[in-house]
Amino acid sequence: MAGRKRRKMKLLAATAPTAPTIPTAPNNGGASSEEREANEHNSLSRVPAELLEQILCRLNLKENVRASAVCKQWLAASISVRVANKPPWLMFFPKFGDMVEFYDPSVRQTYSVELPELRGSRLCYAKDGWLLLYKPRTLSVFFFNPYTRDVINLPALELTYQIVAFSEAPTSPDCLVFTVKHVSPTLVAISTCNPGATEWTTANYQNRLPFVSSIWNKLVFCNGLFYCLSLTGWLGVYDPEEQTWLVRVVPPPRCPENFFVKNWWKGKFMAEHNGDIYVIYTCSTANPVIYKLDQINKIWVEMQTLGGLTLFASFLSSQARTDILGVMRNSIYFSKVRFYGRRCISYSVDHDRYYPRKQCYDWGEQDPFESIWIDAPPDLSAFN
Amino acid sequence: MASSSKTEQKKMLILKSSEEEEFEIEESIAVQSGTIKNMVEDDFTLIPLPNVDTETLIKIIKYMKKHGEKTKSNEKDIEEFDKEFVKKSFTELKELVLAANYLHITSLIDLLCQAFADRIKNKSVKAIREIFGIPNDFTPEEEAEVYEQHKWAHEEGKEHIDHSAY
Repeated sequence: MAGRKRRKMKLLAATAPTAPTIPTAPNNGGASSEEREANEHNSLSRVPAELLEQILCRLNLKENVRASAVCKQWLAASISVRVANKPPWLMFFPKFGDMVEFYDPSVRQTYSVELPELRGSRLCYAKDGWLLLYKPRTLSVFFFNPYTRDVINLPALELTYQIVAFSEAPTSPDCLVFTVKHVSPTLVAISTCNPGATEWTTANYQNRLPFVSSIWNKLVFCNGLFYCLSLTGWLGVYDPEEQTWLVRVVPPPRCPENFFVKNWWKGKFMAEHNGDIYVIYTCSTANPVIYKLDQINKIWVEMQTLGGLTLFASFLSSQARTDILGVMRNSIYFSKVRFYGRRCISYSVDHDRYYPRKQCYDWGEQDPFESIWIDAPPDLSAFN
Repeated sequence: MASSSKTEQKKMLILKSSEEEEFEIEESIAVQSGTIKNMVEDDFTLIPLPNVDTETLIKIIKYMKKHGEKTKSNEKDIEEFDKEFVKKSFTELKELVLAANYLHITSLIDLLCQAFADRIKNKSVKAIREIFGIPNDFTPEEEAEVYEQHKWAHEEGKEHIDHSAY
């Protein structure tokens, strides 16, 4: 009752002087008594909402969230100007039928839509809200936007045992699709294509260091280069501008001894964020290990913390986000392992544990083509 | 006070502070304030500003004069001026931003809001309350909820959270 009265009075008496708080926080000096008196006498000691919003909109997400704890006016103002990124959604590819499911991890909601365009095709990669798919029967390769259902076809190519990725949305003029095929331990065949081209460009390149390319490799596009991580952890880098392929002299990320168990070659993930490359090694009997590539010192550094980053790991392509609400920071989000259970599981790097806690999670058991992280849609119009 | 002389090209205005002190200023400079511009369009030459005290008005006039002489060549100079201009106590800054808001001087509002944001970004919640003289109007339960929802933002972590109210 009293609370409600207080609130009403606040709305009416926006210019009434407010009593100064007795400082309880330890501070060196704090506000002088003159300042406190000045605040008291100043009938406009409360900053009007529109000015407050102008101040708060200049804070980053963390600072904004902190400011929201000052008082109710600040809570309302900070929420109204808050800008947070959306986490990606998890897309589940149907084994039978055309019903595709999308899971939003921030609100734990599933949406479904029938997408017959995907019949007979296999997921290859996802980036910037677009999927790349392959139809083994017809060798057709195409881009698909699952929300707008736009299709962009590419010339055909035999891609059955190859990993393939692309640099950015196919609607961008600089979009390039890249795939690498194993010819011999010292030779790879690299094919590239951009939307609008009538054929793929293929060329052979030497591997100075042994490098095996297979469907188990990981690909990311970072700083204008395609990075390819082999099964044994060697990094091959393709420069589309220079048209060069180099196996980097960077020792593979150290794979812990006990990681060489069943499915060890499958539970690996690679993501890119702001020019940094992250690799996640998982094992059913131990917690995941994360490495970041130190390009200057040419080594993989094990990460004990992610500095506020959240990684979304799926076999074919993974994503990274900062400044998100609704999902945990410094965590890795995985799709569920088997048919039953939650859609999505997370591992907290800060707390060294999975949520929910289980005996073990074997990411090698996952069907690699069953699910993939993809950018969230701008709105829910695709699902009506 | 004599009104603008006929021989002068530049029209002068008189701004009067809340303490009744008067300041002469060129109209071309004063109209950087949207509020003053409106009053000039209504044919005012004596502009009473009951919401702005003398000290603050002097600073605002100084700002407008500096920004009134903005050219392509003195951009760096004005940047330096702006940087020095915001080196003031929180109380002064608060008076200035409220006055700038009332006077509708967009560039000054931006400058001051940015200065505030820069100064409070690392401050603790309690320090912010002290600086602005804001009482905590959350109930203990409400406050606990606000902290709980985004615990991660309130933990010190690697960065330093400043508890001083300067």
